[in-house]
Amino acid sequence: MTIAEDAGLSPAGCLALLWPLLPEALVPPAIRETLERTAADLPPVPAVALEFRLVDDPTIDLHQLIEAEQRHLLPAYVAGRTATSPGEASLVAVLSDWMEDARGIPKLFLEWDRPGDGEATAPGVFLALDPPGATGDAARRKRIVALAERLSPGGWGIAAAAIDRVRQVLPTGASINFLGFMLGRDDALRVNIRHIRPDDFVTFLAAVGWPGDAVAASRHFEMLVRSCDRVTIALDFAPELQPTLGLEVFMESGPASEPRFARLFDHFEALGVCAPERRAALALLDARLLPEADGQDWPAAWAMAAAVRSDRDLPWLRVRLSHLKLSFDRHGTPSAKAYVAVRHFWSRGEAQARAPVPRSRHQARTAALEFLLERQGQDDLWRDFAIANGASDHWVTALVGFVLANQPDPRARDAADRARRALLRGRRGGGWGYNAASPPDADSTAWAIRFIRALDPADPAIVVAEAFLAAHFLPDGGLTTYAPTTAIRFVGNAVSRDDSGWRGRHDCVAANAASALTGAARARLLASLRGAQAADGSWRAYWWRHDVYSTALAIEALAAVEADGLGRALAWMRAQRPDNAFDLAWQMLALRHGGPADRDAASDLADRLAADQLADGSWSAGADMLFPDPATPHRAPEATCYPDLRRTYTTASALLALEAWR
Amino acid sequence: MSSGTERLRAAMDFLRQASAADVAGLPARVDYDALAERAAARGFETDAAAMAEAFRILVRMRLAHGGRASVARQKTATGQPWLRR
Repeated sequence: MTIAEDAGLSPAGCLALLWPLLPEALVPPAIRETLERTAADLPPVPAVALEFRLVDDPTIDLHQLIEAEQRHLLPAYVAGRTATSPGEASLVAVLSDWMEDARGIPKLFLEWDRPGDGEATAPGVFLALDPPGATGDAARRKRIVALAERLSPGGWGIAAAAIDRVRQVLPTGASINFLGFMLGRDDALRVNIRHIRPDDFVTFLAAVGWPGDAVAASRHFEMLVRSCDRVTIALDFAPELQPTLGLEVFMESGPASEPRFARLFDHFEALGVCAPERRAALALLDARLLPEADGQDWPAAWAMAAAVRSDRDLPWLRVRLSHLKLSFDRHGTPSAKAYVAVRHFWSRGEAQARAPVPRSRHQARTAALEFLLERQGQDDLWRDFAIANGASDHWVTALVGFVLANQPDPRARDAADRARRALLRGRRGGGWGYNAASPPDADSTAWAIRFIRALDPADPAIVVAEAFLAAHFLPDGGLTTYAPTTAIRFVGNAVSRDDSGWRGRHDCVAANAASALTGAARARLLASLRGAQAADGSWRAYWWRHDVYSTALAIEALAAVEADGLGRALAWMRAQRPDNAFDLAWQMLALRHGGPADRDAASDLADRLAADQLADGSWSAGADMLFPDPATPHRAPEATCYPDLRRTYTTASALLALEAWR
Repeated sequence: MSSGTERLRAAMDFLRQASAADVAGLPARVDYDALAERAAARGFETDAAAMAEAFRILVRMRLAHGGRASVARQKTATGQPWLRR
């Protein structure tokens, strides 16, 4: 810990770097000064958010995030506080307690409503709760009891009644993720619930006794779930359950790589809860500020804190539109808010937070499965990667679904079956694409076929999809990603542009499709694959930085029909020294088809893979996808890669490999 | 009055020799004058422009030694979006 210099990281620095990104009309100078004064008085944790109303209302609330790893900054702060109100005394008491023992409560959010409006205010305190089972329900409950009692006398009584009422009717997979004690609002309690699926929404609200119009709210909920990565439900107790409702809408990626933000704002504008000028000011906020960049100044205290850190530690700042919220008052009238998050990071801190937690193979399989189950969206899809068209859902879901369909755990099978139904609903022209905004393609469709077949070989969608896939053959017997009959239109282009690269021969796609097709089409593709093998034994990828994945898929497809003839390919694979879990997993899968020495080597790799797993059950992103210009015919050595930053594609691959070496 | 080079060198020396005690009391706003004053109080004659440049150099030197690999991998999406057919 580096307490002394970190104490200089006042959250006011976040605001100093945020202001140049916001118009003065949105945050006038007087409000800026007020917010800075309030921020300067907060614990020295540089992670804040501003809460904006999306209509013409100047009110801005200030939030602060404190994670358990930052508790070392609290003792000096707490010791220096003199509470001036009962609310502030409660805050100091809860910080004092939590900084000693944060089990089950990995982070706190402090929320100041209308800071500086003249009234003696105390913040709302939101306790983040570990997912069920992570800490142990008894231990977690004990900590919540202690903190609730510090937040308000009798606070636990209200919280206990609300928690029990919600927990008794939670659908499978859903859980409480936040408890909010609204110290400034007559000790009201907010309960946030995650992982409610649209099919369960009305039933859940009815069962919990919510007195509003659940059917009307469900229409908004369904739309929001379709348009984002996660929607949480906020219920208010005071102490009875109130007819108000909040729907908090989260995206994993910032607006620059998440076009669905635009769809959400369109929805809010249509509802009349978002002013166009507010949208214009907030909707595209997505920046990484790096102090080495020309013209990028840094707060004085922050610069000095960086100077005294270790040689390899560097600061940077993330500013982004974090999430949106659609609220309904007691009359069902909607309103909307946007949250702009500003957070300072140390590069070494990130690396430490992501340090591997060595596990046995069995433990690694279990943890990976839990990670993937937890990451399934409320619309039953998985998402990963971030390119100009946003995250992938259908393509990624097809691969993850294929992996889970082959797992013995019944929960995996249930998740896979729900994903299958979601994919079938999203089918277009008999095939699937990168996501709903993208045309259907051969690779997504090949993974979807393999996935659906793993659950039900007789599913009629497979026959249709195989026909769609067969339309991607080129005259030379190879396969392309986008068929000649598939239209690809680009934003801003009135006339079609050169997309010959995306329609060229892609052996990485062919290698996958060879395991999806059947009969003569498969034989034709395998013959083509044999001819496409490079002199060194590999198969060149078009959409990937490395060739391990494409070569492993080719080996897998060819091994299904011929035991011999893979010598060169296996020799190439044997010589690879992957530096990431994704390639390691596919190397293991390929070496299964080699001799005893290869299989022994792959078994050793399984231990290495298990040892590299991160605490949350995932592996660091290693699936380095490329996103070439559509006219580019071949992979360029300097191509920018887009890894699976949510770690889903890599983790699914690792689980598949570990399962193969069970 | 020292030259620009000397002021930059002084600023670099101040940053290299700074300790946690030098962080206390500095403003959490962009204010290189405050940094220059802190440096002067420690016997380093410099100015705001030199402090700004020295800090940038310090960060770039660490960057050159692989200090921020995790951020470097997080590319912002580029390329041209395509439309649903």
